[in-house]
Amino acid sequence: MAKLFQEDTISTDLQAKDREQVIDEMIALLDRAGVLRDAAAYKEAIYAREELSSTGIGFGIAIPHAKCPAVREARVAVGISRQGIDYGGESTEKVRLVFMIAVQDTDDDLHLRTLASLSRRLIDPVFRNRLSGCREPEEVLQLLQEIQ
Amino acid sequence: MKKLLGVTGCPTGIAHTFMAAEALKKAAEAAGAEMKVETNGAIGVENALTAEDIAGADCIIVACDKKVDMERFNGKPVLEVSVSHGIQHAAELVAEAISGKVPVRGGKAPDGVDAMFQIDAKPGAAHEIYKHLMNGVSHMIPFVVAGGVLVAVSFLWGIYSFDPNSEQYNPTAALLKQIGGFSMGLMVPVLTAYIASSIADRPGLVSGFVAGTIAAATGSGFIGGILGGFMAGYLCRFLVKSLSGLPREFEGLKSIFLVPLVSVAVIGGIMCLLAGPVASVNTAMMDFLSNLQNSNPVILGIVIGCMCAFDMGGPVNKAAYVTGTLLLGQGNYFFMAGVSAACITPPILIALATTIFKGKFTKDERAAGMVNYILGCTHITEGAIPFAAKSPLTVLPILMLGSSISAVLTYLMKIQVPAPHGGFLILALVDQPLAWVLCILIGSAVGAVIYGITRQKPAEE
Repeated sequence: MAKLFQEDTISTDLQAKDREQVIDEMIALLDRAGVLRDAAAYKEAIYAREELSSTGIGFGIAIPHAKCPAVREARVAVGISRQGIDYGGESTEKVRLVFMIAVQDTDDDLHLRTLASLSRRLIDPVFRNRLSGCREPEEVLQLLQEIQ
Repeated sequence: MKKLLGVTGCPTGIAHTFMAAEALKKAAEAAGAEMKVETNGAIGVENALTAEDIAGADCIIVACDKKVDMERFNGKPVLEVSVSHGIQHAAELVAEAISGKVPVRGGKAPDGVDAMFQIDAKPGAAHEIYKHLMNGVSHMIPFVVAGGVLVAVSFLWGIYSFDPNSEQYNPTAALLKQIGGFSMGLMVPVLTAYIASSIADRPGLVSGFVAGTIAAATGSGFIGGILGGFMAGYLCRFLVKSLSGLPREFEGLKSIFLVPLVSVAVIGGIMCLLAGPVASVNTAMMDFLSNLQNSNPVILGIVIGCMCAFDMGGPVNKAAYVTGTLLLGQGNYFFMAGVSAACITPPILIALATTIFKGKFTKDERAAGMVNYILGCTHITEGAIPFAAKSPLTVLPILMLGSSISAVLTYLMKIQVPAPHGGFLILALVDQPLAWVLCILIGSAVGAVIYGITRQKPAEE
């Protein structure tokens, strides 16, 4: 099964306070794990998507995402923030869960389907609460494995 | 129970689309309403709304940040919001949708003159089949145009210029003809594959291409291709549906292994078995058409002329045009000559009328008439539509008459046009260029005079 979620790209203690910081922090996470070919180009794509409309979608969740050639392998970085992040967007609620999605232009349906089912699950408040309560990357991973 | 429909979509289509879909469904469930949501994600359109769904819906919620087809909801209550609004305020949206106070979108479905050109707006099985067929045709035509023109250009060096044993032999011509041949060779496979993909999306492509290639190779030609396309499409749709119960882990296996393997084996088998009988049907039809050309050029010309001018670029016109291109692929250059003539005539006819009878047209119409010269010369029949739309009952018969005259004359002169499009730009490739232009001008002129005489003077300039 696609390893969309991996421990080295899960952070259960994000330091960022606002959107800019959290995007940088998450990109650094992906970059360190060797997921990105070109971190700068990926960042540009992330911001290009944010320009269209904020990916802060309420319920304390943000899903910055980019589908571009700067990605080496498909991955979703997961970040949990204890103090909350000012993400902007339509909702004034602080963001506590961040999923940064990195997929390639050529990625097959499989990844997209996984993301679709993740997105569907995030509507469920119980699931969200369990996720933001996680203290360790392993726990997060286990919880996310459920949806695959 | 209230019946709601939803459409969700976002620019990248990997997260918000599905969150919104889920949020809306949950909200509808909570409110005790029935809801179906179409997702326009990166995977493609899933759970697409059918004409039946739309007809039976109480309200449609469109939570989209990207363009989706909205025309289909004309005459229905429609709520249009951003995708993130759909995620965050699903419950409010559903409540509003159920309240019955949502304004109805746009005017009613297109009527009057417009409806004449919108035959494809009719729902139902025939429309479905037409839509799939046209998806194949529209993907196929560029291959035929590119290939056909290249082959036709190679004839400039002489009709045998590709043959090394001929005195006319020219390496450039041979190369062009070869390239053109490859492009034309893809005609049936592309037609078949995109009929199948219109029915079953991506999974249909594989068996569609294979079926088309078999049809091309075994001589069952485009009839075999069309049959194969529909069989492949419906089989794949059935396979995908019947395998949808598989656990998620098998999703990848399904799309890259099971569906392609099974569909190619089954469809390939059927196509090979059908090859013989279909090939003979195909040959019979080609023979019938070429016989008609020789024995009854007048009847054929009238039929083609009326078809081409009836809806100018619409489905009836396309039917004649597609038959012409398909026959072109099989080496019949006579048939296309009449089709092209009939397609070029309407705009030229209009243009001539506005030139000859200046006083009977407004300034704007005369300007549009000038443009019609260019459109006509480049085989763009649609140029005549604005004129026909003003008074279809008088103009259409005149256009059909003009086109028929052009086509009949063309068939009587046995003119050959080897390229499927291009109008007078490809005149150099026509075997009797002057005669062909003359045929078209006669048809156009006769029509133009009748049009001009019957037309009333405009009330005011």
